[in-house]
Amino acid sequence: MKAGFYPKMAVSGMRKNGRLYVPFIITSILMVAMFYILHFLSFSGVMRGMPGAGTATDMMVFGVYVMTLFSAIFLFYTHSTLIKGRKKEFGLYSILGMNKRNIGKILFWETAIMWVVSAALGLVAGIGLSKLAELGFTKLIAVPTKYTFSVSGSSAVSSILVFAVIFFLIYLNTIRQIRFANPTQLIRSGRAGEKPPKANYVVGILGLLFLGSGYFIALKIEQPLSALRWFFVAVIFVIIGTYLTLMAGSVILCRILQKNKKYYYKTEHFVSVSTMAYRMKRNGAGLASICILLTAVLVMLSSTAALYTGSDECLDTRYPNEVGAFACKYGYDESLPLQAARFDDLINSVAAEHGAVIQNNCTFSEYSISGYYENNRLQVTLNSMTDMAFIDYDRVAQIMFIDAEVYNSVFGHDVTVGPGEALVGTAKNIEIGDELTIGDVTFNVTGRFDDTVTEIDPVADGAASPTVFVIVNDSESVAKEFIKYKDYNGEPMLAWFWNCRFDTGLDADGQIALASDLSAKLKEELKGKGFSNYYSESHEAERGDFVGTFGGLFFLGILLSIIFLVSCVMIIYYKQVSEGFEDQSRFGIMQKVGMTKDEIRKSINSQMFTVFMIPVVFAGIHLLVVLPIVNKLLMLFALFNFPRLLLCAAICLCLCGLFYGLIYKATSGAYYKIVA
Amino acid sequence: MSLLEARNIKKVYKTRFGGTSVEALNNVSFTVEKGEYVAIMGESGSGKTTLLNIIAALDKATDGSVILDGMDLSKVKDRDIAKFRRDNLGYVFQEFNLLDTFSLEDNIYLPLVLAGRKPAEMQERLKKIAEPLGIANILKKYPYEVSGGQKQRAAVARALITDPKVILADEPTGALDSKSSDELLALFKQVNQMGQTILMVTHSTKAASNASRVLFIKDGAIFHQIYKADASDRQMYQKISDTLTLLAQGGDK
Repeated sequence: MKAGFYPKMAVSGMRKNGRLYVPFIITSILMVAMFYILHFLSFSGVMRGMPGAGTATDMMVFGVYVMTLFSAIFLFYTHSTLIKGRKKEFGLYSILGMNKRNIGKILFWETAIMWVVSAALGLVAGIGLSKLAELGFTKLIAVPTKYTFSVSGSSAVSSILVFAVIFFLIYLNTIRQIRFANPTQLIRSGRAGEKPPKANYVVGILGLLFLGSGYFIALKIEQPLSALRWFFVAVIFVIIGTYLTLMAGSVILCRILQKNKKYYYKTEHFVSVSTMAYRMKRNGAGLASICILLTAVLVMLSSTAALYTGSDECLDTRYPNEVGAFACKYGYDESLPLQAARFDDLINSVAAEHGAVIQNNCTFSEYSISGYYENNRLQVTLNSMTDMAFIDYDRVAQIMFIDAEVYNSVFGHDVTVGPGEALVGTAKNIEIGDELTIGDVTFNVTGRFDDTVTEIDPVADGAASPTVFVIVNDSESVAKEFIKYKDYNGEPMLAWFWNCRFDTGLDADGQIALASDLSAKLKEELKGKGFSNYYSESHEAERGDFVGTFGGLFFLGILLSIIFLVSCVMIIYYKQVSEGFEDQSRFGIMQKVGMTKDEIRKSINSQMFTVFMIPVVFAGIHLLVVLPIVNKLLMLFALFNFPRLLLCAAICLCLCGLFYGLIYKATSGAYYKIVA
Repeated sequence: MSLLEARNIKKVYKTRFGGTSVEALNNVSFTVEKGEYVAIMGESGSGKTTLLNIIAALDKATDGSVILDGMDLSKVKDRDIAKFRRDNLGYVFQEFNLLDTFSLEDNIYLPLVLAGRKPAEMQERLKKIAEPLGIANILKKYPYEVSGGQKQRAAVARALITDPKVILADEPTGALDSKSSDELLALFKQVNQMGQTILMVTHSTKAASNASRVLFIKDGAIFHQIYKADASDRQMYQKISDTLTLLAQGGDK
């Protein structure tokens, strides 16, 4: 046969079915673009240097896997409906003398062409979109984005390869569909009518189980960081659950409705319920995809919007005073109290140099020791901290010992703590009994101050592992009990922290200058003294960083949301058009049997509305379940404002709902046009 | 008064830009009495399906009128036409036109559901006709699961269940094998003997030989009609064949 025959056949075949193939190819282009951008964000290191970059990257990597799975499922499903519509054509080919090998070749070229087109245009779209969005966004909100999108070769190669695999699977599936049918079967298959789906209770219940356990795990998570793996499990469960539930559960629901004769045999329900039961199995996949995309958009938008709009708030929480400084030294030596006094002098001299008046001074030192706590009692067994590999971070707690005298003078309290007694405060939900045992030292717990613990540590609520503040009579003598504990490197586990924060009465530039000067002086002061870590910071110097980081996150959120929503649009359009073709003859018959145009329109509307609402409702529920976790993640960014997150979520839900509604309205026009 | 009367029906198809016009029906007039079983015969393109569609109010005549039980179809308002159709007419199609999303039972219920009948009443009605039609044990099946003959019997049930004044059948045996055709024709005869008026369009001589009267259409006009009277199916078959031969030879009566 002439060279180029098969590619030519493939192209003309796709062109003739353009109404179905064009949306399919556009969808796969978008999927490639989406994949590229996600892959790029997670593997190219653009996110590095952000607070919580590790978590964000983990999530992105996870997102890439989910995305791959999602693309595969979706493309697989839509392509099989696409082929179903063309079986007649293939039957005709084989009657005209082609064997299955020939048809297989045509299909191979079709899939290959689709892959090349989607991969090429998808990459162009991915790169272009990210560039364009970056430009537009920087101009629009005047946010200095920290992430510049460059072209990443490895991401491009990954996108091409991953989609090669997906398209190859699609090709195999198509061959399978064609292979086991003879020409007459193929010709007839268009007319034969599809088997009505059986109500598959097993799958439906399985779906609900997945959904339920996903929700359960999600709601159980207290520590989003240490439980990140569980969070991913929950997400996977919810995704699988959504697919199964929408695909099987909806058929079951329709079957139950059909059993209720009073409900079912009503003009407005009769047609829509049975049609829905019939097509849910296939369209369930589309609906589930829409639902997952919508949920992703809602979560991304509401969390990043909450962060961006609350960035001042975060800043104030994280840096309650204008200037701050910190120093830390492991082990114990006699000179530490003296060092604290030297720090005070240093602060005073630097402040005087800059003409600052120190106000709201909050300077104190504390001893710290980390260990496991067990049985919800803070019984720290320090010698089990020997092997890093077996550390369960959920059970690690950091204990801070502060002198009662310091506590009283710095934070304006009036407590008395006797020897062997302790006042305990922690922001985490840790049950502490009457006695607190740390190592082999036991304290009588005489009181709790959990409510005011943020005085000492403003971001205590958001800390990844629990911090427990213990007010004792004499922290130095307590600390001496812990000198003997060494970590697996033989380094002492006891640490001395010096914290300092105060207001200056200076303007923004003055504060920044003071902080950097302080930093230099600290360096000079602590040279050769064995301090592991020290720095100074200022509220104003961090502002740009905060706004930049959060603006950048918001920008990423918007960018990804746009891409996800566009994919949604394509899925919906695809659904409407393919359903329109299916329903064309159906509504013709109904008219002949005596259904008025009005009744048809009503039935279409009720059906469409139900189908329209399903993904939104599901996405709303998903969002509700995931919001507490999102809130906990936001705490890591020092945003402690659940109402703000709720508000952002509500606004995003409304906006997305509105957008979705508009899209639905527009695409249902396409449907009406085909049916009428 | 006749149950159904077609008066001077004319149907002209115009090409889209009003150029040439094709006359599908030209001055067709006939009447059908209550309880009659009338077959309309003619070759492909003779206009017989157009005629049936006009009688079923699926299509509008260019001129002339159809009067069913004293009611002029052209006077029925557009939005009432579907209701009129489902209350007064039962339609049996060549391609069955069953909805594949419904079980046979639900397909049969469709016109009743549209009319807002109660489930109990629908069941009652179906019970009466399911047994004679031989579909009582396949009601729960879906169209794709049953044979063509069974599908057509379900379609007949759908037409009968509303107690229509007339059953209109368009090539009802066209998509059936000979055994199923014979069964369907026997069924029609039986239904007709129970008093049901049937108007059937066909080009099968065998189908037409079951009818009590056969109208022949040629080039959009009634060409001839024969009554069965007391003749047997076989004699009727012969008569029809003769007429068709005459028709084909283009001779005058």
